Amino acid sequence: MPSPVRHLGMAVLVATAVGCSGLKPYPNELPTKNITIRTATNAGSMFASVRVELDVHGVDASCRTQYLGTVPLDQPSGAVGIAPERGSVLTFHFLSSNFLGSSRGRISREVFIAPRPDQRFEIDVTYRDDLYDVVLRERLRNGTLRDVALQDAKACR
Amino acid sequence: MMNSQRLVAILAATAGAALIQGCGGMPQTAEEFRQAVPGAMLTKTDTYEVNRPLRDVAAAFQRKAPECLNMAVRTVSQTTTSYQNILTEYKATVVPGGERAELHLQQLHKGGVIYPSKPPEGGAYIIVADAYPMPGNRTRMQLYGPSIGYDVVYRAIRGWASGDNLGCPDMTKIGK
Repeated sequence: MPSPVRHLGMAVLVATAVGCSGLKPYPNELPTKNITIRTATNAGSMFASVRVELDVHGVDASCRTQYLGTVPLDQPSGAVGIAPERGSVLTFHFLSSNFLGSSRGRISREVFIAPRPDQRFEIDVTYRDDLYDVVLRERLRNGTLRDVALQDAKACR
Repeated sequence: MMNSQRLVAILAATAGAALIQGCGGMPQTAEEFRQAVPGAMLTKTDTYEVNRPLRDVAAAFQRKAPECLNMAVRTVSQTTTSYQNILTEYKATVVPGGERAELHLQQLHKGGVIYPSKPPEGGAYIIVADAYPMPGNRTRMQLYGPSIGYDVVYRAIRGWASGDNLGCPDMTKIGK
């Protein structure tokens, strides 16, 4: 079993100082938006809030990652184009804060994906009552959805 | 100045390490933890049934526990008079079996916390959840752990066991 330390990259939580300054917007310029993302959040209290951000990293042939930019997932649905035929690491950050920001938290889920040109994926991102989830499905040609197991960046190797 | 919320967070964070150990030393195994919880401060046991067979519950534990619980949490708190920076590592272990499936959660603070005695390899046991087969493809859950601060983890385990919610607990909410 992998040690917890090896998961540091997958999910490191920082309780303070998670401001979004300095984030580069993901250009999202590819003509084909091959990933549809649905986002639903509920902090569970009127005194708390949660928002979700997506960091997109390109992965080269040596499995090195390069940060390409961040997409704020502040709408119920959106579409993102990632490069086909090569790997990408999508990191979903759930950023929570309570009343007046006296307590902040950040928890992340990393997803490695290497779509073929003809593949389309749908991702459901949820945060409800302090439980978060990322569900990846492939939209098949016949219109049905197929669950896809999440893999982190180690899947590149 | 320590506020009440911070105090609760610290109590919760150290429950497995200090409170459960009582007078007999820190539990070094999951079984020792089961024995220690009923008589320890700020701990509880909980029992409920889910409408799924044991093999499905065990499979959910095997899939979700490493994915959701094996992680490190850094907590930084700062006031005008103090600064704390604590890295806490969590380690989940699932022991499947036909008679019982077990999920153990261990917690190890990497600084900022002084353990009164040596914690076991992987950290102090903080939660143990046992699943037992019941007639009619049902499963009985028996949980041992802190009575405060870990509600988010208990809810996640319940969701995995029942299959109703496969989400991961936001571990930054521990102690809040």
